Amino acid sequence: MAENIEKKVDLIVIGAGLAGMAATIFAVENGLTTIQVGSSVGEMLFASGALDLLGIHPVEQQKEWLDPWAGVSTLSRDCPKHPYALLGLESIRRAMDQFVDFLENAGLSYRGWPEGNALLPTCAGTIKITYRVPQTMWPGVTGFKQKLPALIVDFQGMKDFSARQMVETLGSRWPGLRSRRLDFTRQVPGVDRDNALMAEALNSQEVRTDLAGAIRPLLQGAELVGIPAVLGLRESEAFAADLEGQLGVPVFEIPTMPPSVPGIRLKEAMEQALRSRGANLVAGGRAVSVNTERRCCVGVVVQQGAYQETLEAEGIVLATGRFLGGGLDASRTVIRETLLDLQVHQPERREAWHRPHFLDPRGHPVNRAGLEVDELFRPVGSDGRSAFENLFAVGSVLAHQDWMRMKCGAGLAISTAYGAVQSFIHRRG
Amino acid sequence: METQVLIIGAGVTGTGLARDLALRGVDCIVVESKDINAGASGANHGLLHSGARYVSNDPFSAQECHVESQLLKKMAPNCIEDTGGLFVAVAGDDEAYVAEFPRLCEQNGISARMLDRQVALELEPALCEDIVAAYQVEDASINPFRLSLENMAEAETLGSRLFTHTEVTGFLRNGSRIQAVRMRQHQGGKETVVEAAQVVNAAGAWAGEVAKLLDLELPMIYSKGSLLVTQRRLTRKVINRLRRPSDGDIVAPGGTVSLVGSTSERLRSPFSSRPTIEEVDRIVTEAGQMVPVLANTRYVRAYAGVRPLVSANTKSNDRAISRGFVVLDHEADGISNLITVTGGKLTTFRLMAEKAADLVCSRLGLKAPCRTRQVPLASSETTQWTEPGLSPRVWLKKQNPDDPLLCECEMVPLSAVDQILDRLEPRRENIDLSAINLRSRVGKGSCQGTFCSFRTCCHLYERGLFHSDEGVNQLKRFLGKRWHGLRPVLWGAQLAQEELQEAIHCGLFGLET
Repeated sequence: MAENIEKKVDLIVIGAGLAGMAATIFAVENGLTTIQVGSSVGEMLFASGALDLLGIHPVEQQKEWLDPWAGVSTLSRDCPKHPYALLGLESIRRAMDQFVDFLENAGLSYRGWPEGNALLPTCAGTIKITYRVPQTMWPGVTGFKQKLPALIVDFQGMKDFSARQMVETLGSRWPGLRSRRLDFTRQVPGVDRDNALMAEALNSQEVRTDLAGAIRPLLQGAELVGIPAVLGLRESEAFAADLEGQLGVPVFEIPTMPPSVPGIRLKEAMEQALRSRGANLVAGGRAVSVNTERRCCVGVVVQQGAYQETLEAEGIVLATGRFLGGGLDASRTVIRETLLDLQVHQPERREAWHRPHFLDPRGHPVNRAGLEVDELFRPVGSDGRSAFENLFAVGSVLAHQDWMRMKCGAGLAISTAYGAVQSFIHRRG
Repeated sequence: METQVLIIGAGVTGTGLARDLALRGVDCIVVESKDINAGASGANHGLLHSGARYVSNDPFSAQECHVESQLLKKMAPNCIEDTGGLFVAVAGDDEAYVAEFPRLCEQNGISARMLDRQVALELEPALCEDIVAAYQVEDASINPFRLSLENMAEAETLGSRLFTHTEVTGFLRNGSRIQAVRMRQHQGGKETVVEAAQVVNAAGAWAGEVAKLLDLELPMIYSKGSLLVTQRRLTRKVINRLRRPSDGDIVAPGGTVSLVGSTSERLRSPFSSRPTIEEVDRIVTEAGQMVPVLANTRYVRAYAGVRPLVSANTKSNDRAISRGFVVLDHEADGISNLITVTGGKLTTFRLMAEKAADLVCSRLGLKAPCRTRQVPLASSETTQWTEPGLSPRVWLKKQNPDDPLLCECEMVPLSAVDQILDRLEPRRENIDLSAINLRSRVGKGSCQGTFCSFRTCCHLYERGLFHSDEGVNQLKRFLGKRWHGLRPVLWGAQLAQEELQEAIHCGLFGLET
């Protein structure tokens, strides 16, 4: 364990996904001494890079909200147990604003319509409804809105992206799209290249100049160029500006399958900014258990390699995610919370976890299973009282939401993290 | 269109029959409403039975299995892994049956060597410590997809033709003869009439449905069997429960995985058979008594097939109905050029084909002896990719940077998918994700198509085979179909995997909208 870690801090955040990062950010911004430990490996690699707030509600009607705030109001009324309903519009708004400001200061700009949702073209040629997108994706949003003549390029040897697929699929809604494949193979080492390897190659100025040179003759009137979101592991905004300078038209990134380069950038930018603000991020550490004394959590046992150490804090934020993140685990009969065996709201039998059809618009009931919390975001027991006085839960581990279907994942992570940190501060007085 | 013999159904029987006839110089057309091995031929244990399983209640099938399995090990070695098998009894199993088993095997000429408990545990460390008896038998593992693909490919090389995704819609009669068969392609709805001298109904569980088109009634019994696929292979040999055939009796190796099952549930029709959560739990519990790690291992999917059983006595226990096959001559029903071949087992497919072909040839007035006892099944580059563990070996050896892995779980490179497409394209066969999944390991690994479905779509667009928004529709259809096998095994790590699938395909792509 790193020697420089304070053994007793204000807040320990367990989980290194978006909710855990957001909780750490809000804690540090409020002057709390904070340690963040992971719960499993980097879920952020799976994030598209875009920040959703609320796209669809009610899911069974597939109603899309171009004004997410009106959507959140309606949702809070219809589903009073949805975590958004515990927060209120103003808190959610403050949370989102503060988070986006933090990213801006960390070197990652996010863009969006002032009050509205954005429609973001994906690599599948579908349109994702989202709230804020990385600066490098924004010209794709405006270009789609204005239906500008655009060229989508991809790279020979890149298996997760087909510009042709995107254009064929999106063509009816975005006429004037064209696609071209560039031979880029020599520039990228390795036998089986993933997005991260592609991004690594594009870190080189020389390679980007080659790329611009290859695209230029293909422009033929295109006012916009879209490329897979692999425009460098860092400094993507500068790289996009560099390409735009060389080509004379804006260049935008298109979100891809995992591993997601914008997800890697997001995580790295947050980590760097948090470290510079004095947060302790236990790299490679994993919370294995929580010590409790009556209704209080007093310490977190962290495993790092072969070593175990107990860290103490006044409050603990559980941001451990769901099944993929490791916060929940299911046997054949029951769903459990993995660290403290907290009570999990869940359907009665496995038959009811999933519906017979994968794409049933109502979503699968298991995705609304999770921790129920009180108004301070403390998980509650069967008596409805908080299980522990100083334990808070945030993000996707919470019950009564289906972030994948409602398109509310980032908003849920960020706003509940905000709410939990506010509760901690308020309660401490 | 004209042919000597029209075969309905491209399961292991239909494709085996096509090869048998082709080797005798007979021209065939095979018509299949879905794709190769769409029914029970593609939803079984992949088990080449030594016969030992049937010694008590079906000695005739036991002997057939014994003879055929020995022969197939020589004639189709590329499709077979000669694993050997064990029969084990655990505490509480019927002792009388255990005691009777070696004698029954001997009576039927089936080799069963008693093993010391300790020896059995050394051979198969995954076995339960508490086994009370163990016998070694000559079971083996057979890849039914490769088998049918290679049977059909060889038949095609010899001039036979295959029409997949084409349904038989009716028969044109001329007195006691079927003059021609009407068929319709699912895609585009193109209708074709095929004139054939002989027609063979090899539609497996759907044989009764085909017969209905001719106002014939076949006494079919539909027995659904569900099975589980583990993420990794748990045993070297086929492990059978040493008891009267029952549920969850067999753990069979399937290359890199184990196949665990099965169940036996009576259905009223062969359509839409799906594995249920209750069946999955039953299999885990029952088979776990032999191989305890089954309680904690990861399952990647479940699947179900419908056994086409033929019996006059419809009230009996389905496990007790003979696994023997029937070759029905419909002369007595007033149709002189129709044969139905159904029932039977994967292990006896060759014999079924031989008997049906013998009858076909005698009706055609041909004196052409069966050659499938002497001519080994040909293997080819395009039909080999269903073999688990083959594509990683080939890919790692080549180290070609222009050949990315479309499926990382099973390490299927683009070049393998291209070989499959190179075969399908000129034949104008239906090209979609399911067709590639059937002919390779794409979509069969632990991610169950989360990544490779999309990558394969990308490639199909790049090859110009997909247009417009076909890719999105294909993803919906493919993942929707895989879901039926995934849903009953969603707990533990596979549930986490499903969450990732939904995060990508719904969260990012919005396929549900």
